[in-house]
Amino acid sequence: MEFQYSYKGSSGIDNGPYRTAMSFSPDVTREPTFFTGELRKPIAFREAMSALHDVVVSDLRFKPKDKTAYKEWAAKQEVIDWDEIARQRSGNANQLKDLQAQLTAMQQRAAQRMQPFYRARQKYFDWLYQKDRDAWFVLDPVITVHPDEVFFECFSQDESSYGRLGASYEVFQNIGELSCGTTNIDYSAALYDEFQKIRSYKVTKFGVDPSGFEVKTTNEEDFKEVKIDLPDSWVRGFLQVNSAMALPARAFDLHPMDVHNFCFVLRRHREKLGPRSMRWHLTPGQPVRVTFDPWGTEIICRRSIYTGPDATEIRVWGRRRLHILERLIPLAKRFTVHLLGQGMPSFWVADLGDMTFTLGLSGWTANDWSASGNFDLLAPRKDVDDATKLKVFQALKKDWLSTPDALVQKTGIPRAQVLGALSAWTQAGRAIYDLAKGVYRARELSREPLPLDALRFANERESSAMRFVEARGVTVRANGTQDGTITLMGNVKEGRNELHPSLILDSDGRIVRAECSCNFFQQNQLRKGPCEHMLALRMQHQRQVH
Amino acid sequence: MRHIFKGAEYKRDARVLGLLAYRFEKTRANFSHKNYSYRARHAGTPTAYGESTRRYLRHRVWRTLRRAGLSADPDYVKLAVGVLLPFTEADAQEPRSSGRTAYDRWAPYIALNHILYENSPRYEPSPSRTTFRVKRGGRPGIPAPAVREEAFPKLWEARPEGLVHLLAESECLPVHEFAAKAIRAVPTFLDQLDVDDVVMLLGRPYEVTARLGLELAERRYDRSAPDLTLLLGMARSIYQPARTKAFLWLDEQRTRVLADGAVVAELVLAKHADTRDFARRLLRSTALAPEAGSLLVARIVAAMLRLGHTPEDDLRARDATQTLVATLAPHLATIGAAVVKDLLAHPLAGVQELGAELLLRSAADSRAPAIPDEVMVQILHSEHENVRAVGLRLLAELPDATLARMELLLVRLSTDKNADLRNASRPIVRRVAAAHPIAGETIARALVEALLRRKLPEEAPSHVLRMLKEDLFDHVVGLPTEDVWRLLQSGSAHAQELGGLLLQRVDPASLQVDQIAKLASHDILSVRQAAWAFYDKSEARIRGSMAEAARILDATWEDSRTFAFGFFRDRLGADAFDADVLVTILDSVREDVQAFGRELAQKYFKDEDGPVLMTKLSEHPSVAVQRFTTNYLTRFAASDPARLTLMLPYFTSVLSRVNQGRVAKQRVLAFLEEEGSKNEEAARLVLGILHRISATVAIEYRGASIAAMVAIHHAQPGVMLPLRIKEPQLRGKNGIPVLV
Repeated sequence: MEFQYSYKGSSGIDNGPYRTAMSFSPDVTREPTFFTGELRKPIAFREAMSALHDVVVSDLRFKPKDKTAYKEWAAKQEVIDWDEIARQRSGNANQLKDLQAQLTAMQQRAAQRMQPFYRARQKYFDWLYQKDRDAWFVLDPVITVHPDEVFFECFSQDESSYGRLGASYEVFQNIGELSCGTTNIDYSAALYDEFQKIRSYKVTKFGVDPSGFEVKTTNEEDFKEVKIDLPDSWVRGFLQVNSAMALPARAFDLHPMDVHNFCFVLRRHREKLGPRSMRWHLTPGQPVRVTFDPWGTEIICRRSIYTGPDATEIRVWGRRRLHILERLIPLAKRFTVHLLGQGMPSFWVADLGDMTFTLGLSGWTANDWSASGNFDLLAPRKDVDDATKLKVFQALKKDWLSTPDALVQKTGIPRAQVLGALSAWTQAGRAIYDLAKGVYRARELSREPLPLDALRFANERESSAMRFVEARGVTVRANGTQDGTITLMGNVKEGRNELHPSLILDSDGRIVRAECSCNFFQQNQLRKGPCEHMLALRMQHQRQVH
Repeated sequence: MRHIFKGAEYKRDARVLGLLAYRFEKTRANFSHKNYSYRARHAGTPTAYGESTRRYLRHRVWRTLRRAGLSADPDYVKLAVGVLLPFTEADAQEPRSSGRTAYDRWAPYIALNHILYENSPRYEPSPSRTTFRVKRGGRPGIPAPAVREEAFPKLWEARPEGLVHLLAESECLPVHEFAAKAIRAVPTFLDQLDVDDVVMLLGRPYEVTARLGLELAERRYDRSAPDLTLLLGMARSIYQPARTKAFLWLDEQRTRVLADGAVVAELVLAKHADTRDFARRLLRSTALAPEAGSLLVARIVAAMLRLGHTPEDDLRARDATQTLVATLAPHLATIGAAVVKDLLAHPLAGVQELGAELLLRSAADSRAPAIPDEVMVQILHSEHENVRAVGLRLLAELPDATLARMELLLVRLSTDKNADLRNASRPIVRRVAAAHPIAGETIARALVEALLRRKLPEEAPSHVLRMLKEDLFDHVVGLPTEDVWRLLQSGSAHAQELGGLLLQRVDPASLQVDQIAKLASHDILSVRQAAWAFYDKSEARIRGSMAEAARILDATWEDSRTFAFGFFRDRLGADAFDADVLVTILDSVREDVQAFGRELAQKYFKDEDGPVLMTKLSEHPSVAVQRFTTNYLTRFAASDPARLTLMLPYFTSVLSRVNQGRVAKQRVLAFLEEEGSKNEEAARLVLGILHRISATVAIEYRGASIAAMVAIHHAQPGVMLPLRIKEPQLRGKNGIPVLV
C-alpha cells in the first residue's frame, strides 16, 4: 500500500545553550493541523518522547547471526589443518614449517598494508549507515491535535508494538494558535539525539509548524515529497492493535517498581529455548503474580492488588518489548495493564501525571503465520448500516472526542448500534479508543480511507477459515501435554466433504507440525503456510479457550 | 445473396457483379463437400457456401461473360471491366510449381484469367478448370507477347472507352498490360483523347501505361504553343524516358515555364528526385523579378506546409528547402514571422529546417528584431538533429550584444536536458559573460538558483557546477554570505561543492559563531577545514560567545571533534569556561564529548559554579553523566532541603535504572541516608523515594533502601516508617519453622 506525503522542509530541533525550539513539519496535503506552545514540563516530555522513539525503532524480529567471518576463518583453518597432516606424513617437515612461517609473515604484512583501506572502508560504511538511517522508519509518526490534548502515535518496524503519547495542555504554556486534526510529521533518527538535550532550564518551544499550509500554493519546489510503500501486514497489524483497544479486557494497576522488576528479570536473564511467555496469575484480593518462563522466576507485585471479578491465568508473549517502558519508570505514578487474553494484544498505560503513554503489544513479536491467528480482531462486531455509521462518525468528528453514551444522546441511535459503528470506524483506522480516558476519538490514520476489505485477511485461506468457523462447521479436541505442547484434532465441514486437520502447537503457541487431508496441504505441505482447515481449527480452539 | 447475384446478372450491373465475383474468388468455402452431412446434423454450424457452391459460382461468372461475348453483346466489355477492376496488386500470389506444372502469379482467379488470357500463348486452364497454368515449355513471369491474348478482342475494340476506364482505375499490372496493348489497336480513338486523359495516363504508376502516355504526348507536343500541363504531367511521370523528355522540352520552353509559378512549385516539390534537381537547375540559371520570386516562394512554402508525414515527404521538403536557399535566397526575406513559426511547428525535419534557416537569415540582419526565446527553444528542442544544429549555428552567429539581452535563454540552455545543447551553449555563455559582465552576473545568479532549486534534469547539475567553477567563477565570487550559506545547507552535493569553494572567500565576520560551528558538521572536508580556520582566526569572537562556539564539539565528523578538542584544550584557558559552557559541553549525547566535558569540568571547576553545575547536570539522561554528578552531591547538596527537593527527580531516575548505574545508585543511597538523618523535613522527602525504591526485587538495593529507612527513622523518630515489621519465624535445628 503506498502512502504519499508532502512536507515543507524537514522537522528540526534547534538546540541553543538557553533555549530549544522543536519544529515538526506536518504533511501539508492533509487538512491543516498545527499547534505551538512552550513546554512546562520538558523533562517528562523528553523521556516520554524518547520512549515513543524506542517504539518507532523497535525491531525484535529474529535476525540470524552473521557467520561469514567465521566461515572464512574455518575455510582457511581447514587448509592449514590439511597442511599439518601433509607435513606429518612427509619428511620435509622443517621446510614446510619455514614456508608456513614465511607465508604467515607475508599474510600479516599484507593485512597490515591493507588495514588503512579496510578501516577507511568500514568508516565509510558506518557513515552511509548513519546517513541513511531515516530509511529505517516505516511510517512517520502521526500527530493529532484535539481540544483536550495533543497526541502522538507510532507503530514499530516489526509490526508488533504500538505507542501513543497523549499530552494534555497542562504540559504546555503560552499556547499559540492551534487547529484540530490529524497529520503525519516528518521524523528522522537525528531528532532523537536532539531530544536528549531538552532541559528544564532552557525555554523549550514545541510546534507543529503551520507555515507549510500558508505557502503551499506559491512555492512548490520547497516541498519534500515522500513516498512510502508500506507492507499490508504492517497496516493490518496497526489496525488490529488499534481495534483491540476497544475490546473488553482485564485491567489492573501496577506500581512503577513492578515494571522495573519485570525489566530487571529480563535484563538479568536471556533464554535460549522457549517458552518465552509471561504468565499472569490474577486472583481477586491478592497481589498480582507474574511467572517468567522458562525459568519459573516469580515476581509478586505486593503493592498491586488485583481487584477483578474472578481468578485467572493469562499468558502473553513478546515480553522483551517491555523494555520500551524503562525510561518511564521514574516518572510514572502507576501503570495500568489491560490484558485481552492468551496470545491476544495487551496494553500498558503509563500515568505520567499530565501525560499518558500507551504501549500496545500485539500477541507475538513475530507476526508470521506460525503464531498469528488474530484476524478475528478486524471482523465486524455488529452489522450497522452505512448511514448510521456516517451519522455516528460525523457526531464524533464534530467534538473530536466523545464517550459512547454522549453519542447516544446526541444522535438518538441505540447504544449497541453506536458501539458497532464506533468499532467499525476503529477497524478502519479513522477513530481510536483512548484507554486512559475511556473515550473514542476521531483520528484518521491516512489521508485516503484504507481499503479495509483488502486488509482484513492476509490471504484467501484466512477468509475461508473464518467462513468455516462462522458456519459452525468446525469441531475441535485439544490434548495438552506436560511440556506445554497442545495437540489439536478435529473435523472441518466444507460443503459435502469433511476434512480432518490436526495441529501441534508448542509451548509458545506456534504451529510446529500440522497435517490435513485437503488438497492444498497434499500439494504444498506447509511451504505456503497452513491451509484454511488448520486455521479454522485453531480459531475455533481459541474461541473455546476464551 | 443469390438474388443479388442473379439480379446483377440480368440487369447487367457490372459493379455489383464484379464485387461479388471478386468475393467468390477470395473467400474460402465454409466446408468441403465431405463433411456436409455431419455439419447438417449439428445446428449452429454454417450450412451454406460449401466447396462445390463456390466452384459453381466462380464458373458461373465466366459463363455469363462467355455467353455475352459469344452473342457479341456490347455489354460484355462493361461486365468484364466490372470483374477486372476489384483486383489489385495485393491479390497476386507467389508463383509456384508442382511437378512439371507451373502456376503464375494470377493463376487462381478463373474469370480474370479467362478474360485476359483466353487466347494466350502463355497460359491455359488446368484440367480441373479451377486455375490457369503455364503452358508446357513456358515458365512463370515471362513477359507478355506482342500478340493479343484476351477473349473477344473485337468486342473490346468496339468499345475502347472500357479500356481507358481500366487504364484509369485498375491497380493491377496484367490488366494494364492488356489494356495498353489493346487500345493501341484503335488509333483513331487514341487521337481523340484529350490532354487530361494523356496526363492521367502519364501519371499512372504502371510503366506500360505511362509509355503509352508518352507516345501520345510526343504526338501532341507543339513547340510553338506547348501545353504546360502536359509537360508537367510528363515531368511527374513514373516513366523515366517521359521525365527525361519533359526536362528537354521544359528547358526549351523555360520562359513560359518560369512565368507559371504553379508549375514551378509543383516541379520543386515533385515526387521524383531528378525532377526536383531539374527544378533547382532551372531556377538557378535564372533571375526572377521580385514579385514573381516572392510569389513563387509563397507558393512553395504553402505547398510545403501541406506535406504529409512520410519519409518521402521529408525528402521532398529537404530538397525544396535546399532549392529555396540556393536559388531563391533574395526572395526569402518576404516570409513573415508567423509563417516561420508555422514552419518550425511542422513535424517534418525538412520543413523545420527551412524555418530555422529563415531565422538564421533574419538574425544575421542587425536591423531585425530579436528572436523570441520561445522560438529559439522550439528550434533547439526539435527532435531532428540538423534542425538543432541550425539552431546552434544561429545562436553562435548572433552578435554578443544580442545574446547579452537573451540571458534567460542561455540559462535555459545551460540547464537543458540535452547534453549537446548544454555543451554547445557553454562557450557562448563564457564569451557573453566575458564581454558583458552584467549579463554574466545575471546568468551566474540564475544558475546558482537553479542549483539550489534541485529540479534540474539528470547530469545538468554537474554541468552547471563546472560552468560556475570554470567560466563564471568571477561572477559568483561576489555572492552574499547568505547565498553561500544556502548553498552549503542545500541537499544537492553540487551546490555544496560550490558553496565550499565560495566559503574560502567569505569574511568570517559575516558568519555567526553558531553558523561556523554548524559548518564543522558539513559532509565536505574543505568546508569543515574552513570552519576550523575560522575558529583559529577568530579566537576573540569565540571567547565572546563560548556557549555557541562549544557546539562544534558535537560535530558529526570525528576530524572536526578532534580539532575542537585540541582547540578548546590548548587555546582557551580557565577564564573561558564558566558553568554554562561546561554544561553545554556535558549535555552532548556523545560519549567522547561527555568525557572531554568531564575532563574540562575537573580542570576548570570553580566552587561558585558548583550548585549550578550540579542541578543542571542532574537533568542529563545518560548513565555516565548521572554518575559524574554524584561527585558534587556531598559538596553542594548537603544540608539544603530546598536543593534536595530540586534534585528529587534525579534521585528517582538514578535509583530506577534497570540493572545499570551501580556506583551512582550506591552513592545516592548513601547520600540520601546521611541527608535524611539530618532533619525531619529532609527525612520525609528521602523516605518518599526510598519507600518507592524498596519495592525492587534487586536484593542489594531493596536491602540498602530498607536499612536506610530504618536508620533515618532511628535518627528522626518523628517521621513514620512506611514499613510493617514482621516477627521472624522461629526456626528449629535444621531451619524448620517451629510453631510457637
